[in-house]
Amino acid sequence: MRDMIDLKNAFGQADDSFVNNVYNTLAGMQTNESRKPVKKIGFRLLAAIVIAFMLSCGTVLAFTNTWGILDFLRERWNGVKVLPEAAEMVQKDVSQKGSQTEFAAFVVREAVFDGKNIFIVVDAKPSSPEYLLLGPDAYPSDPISNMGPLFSDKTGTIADYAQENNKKMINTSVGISGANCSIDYLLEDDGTLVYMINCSYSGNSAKSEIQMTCVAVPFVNWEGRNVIDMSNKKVTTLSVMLKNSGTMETVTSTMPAVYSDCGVRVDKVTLTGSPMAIYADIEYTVIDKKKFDETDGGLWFEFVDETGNCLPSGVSSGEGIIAVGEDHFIQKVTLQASKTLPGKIILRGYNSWDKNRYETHTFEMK
Amino acid sequence: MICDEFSRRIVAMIQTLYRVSYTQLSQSCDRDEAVQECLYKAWEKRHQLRDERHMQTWVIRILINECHNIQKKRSRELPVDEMPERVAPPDVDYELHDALFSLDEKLRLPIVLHYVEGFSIKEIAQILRLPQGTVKSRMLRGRQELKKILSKEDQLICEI
Repeated sequence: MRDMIDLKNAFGQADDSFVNNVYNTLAGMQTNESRKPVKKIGFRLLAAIVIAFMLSCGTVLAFTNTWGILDFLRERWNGVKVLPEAAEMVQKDVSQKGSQTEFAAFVVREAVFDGKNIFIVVDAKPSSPEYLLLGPDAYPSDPISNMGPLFSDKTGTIADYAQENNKKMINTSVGISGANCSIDYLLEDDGTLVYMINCSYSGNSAKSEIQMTCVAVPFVNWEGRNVIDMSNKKVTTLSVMLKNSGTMETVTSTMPAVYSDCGVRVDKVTLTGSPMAIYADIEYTVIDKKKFDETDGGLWFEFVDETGNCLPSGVSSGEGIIAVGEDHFIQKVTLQASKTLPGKIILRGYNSWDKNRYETHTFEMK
Repeated sequence: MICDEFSRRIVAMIQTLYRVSYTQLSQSCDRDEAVQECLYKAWEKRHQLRDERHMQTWVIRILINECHNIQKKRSRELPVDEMPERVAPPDVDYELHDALFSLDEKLRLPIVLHYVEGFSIKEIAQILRLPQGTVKSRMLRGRQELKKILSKEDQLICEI
């Protein structure tokens, strides 16, 4: 017979990756790191999906090619689709100032800005062949196969690889100042770490200047553990001018709808089209606090088709739910790009905790 | 609170941060992201902490919020039935691990916070922003389900 105290045995000890992550985050704060950390997507998961996809489809990538924005979207972002016109939006000659550190040079190679979202590919090139550049969430103890398709069949850790090839490991990160970024990266044959960065960024002017913060920090061995040497951190700013290719059209719902199961009224749904995605804003107000509280913060709206299946998501995960006042919220998401915006949409409430489905309403859009 | 003191207290909480994030997120990269966001937010908002004695419950509350955000994001990226399974670490009691993680998260989290992390019902109510009665009823249901799952092999002795 066991005691509830045995439940502790249902967990192991925090693994090295977790512990290193905590130490490195704290070290960043110690050195007055005020920037928000870049958001990571599930790199290991994505890598596994990509490898499985490539094996099952027989897709052969020209590994020596340099990856661009549309390559990342097609090959690594779960097959997300954009309109063919998106290719014309890709800026290949991006005006920029900066950005060299002692360990790496950072260059924006491609960019897309449609007034709602930014996509940028940055090449981080090591300043010496002896440097092995790692992404912000990669640790020496991680499998080398995480470093991208070129390494997918290699075994051992990143640290093993670095040792075998006499390379010094350098942690790098790239972010856009003032924005929460999603990030993906892979290592190319010549040692270039290619970053794909995406964030929500609203702007109506024809051009927008953004500041990118690029960081390179070497790993050092400290008490038998590979840690980031924050005393040797090199930071540089890359100033980038983006052309706004603009969105296409906007449609708005004509009537509100009450979701009594979860205690809210959807006041307005706005869809804005772009060759990259359809950007959706769902504005809702709490009208029954008790019912709303019962959702335990798990309320989410999903777009469905007439058979109840979810519509495919767009290129960006959106900004999520933004509180506008105490009882008013806006859920910002994206849907897959489409040549025309729909005349009606079907919106279903659901609880992301327990997966309960709430009511479904159809909205006419004009 | 100065950074050294903040860091010292966070380091003392590492195992708790790990277990709480593990309770909610199956992928290690997601746990890393959640704890990183949590630490930055806690540090940026440290002035909002009225009483430093409550730092642990406050940080855990932030961490749970970050885990929720990631869960929502992931549920949109992958259908639920395609979510990768949680890989149990090598040094665990697999029977207990599987039983605990077969519980609904709403039941699992209060159980972990109380029996593993030692938070009181009142503290859990504050962390989860739930009435104490709801915490108690979820713990009761969680214990009953755990007993049911383990009944063929074993039983858990439990008291609140």
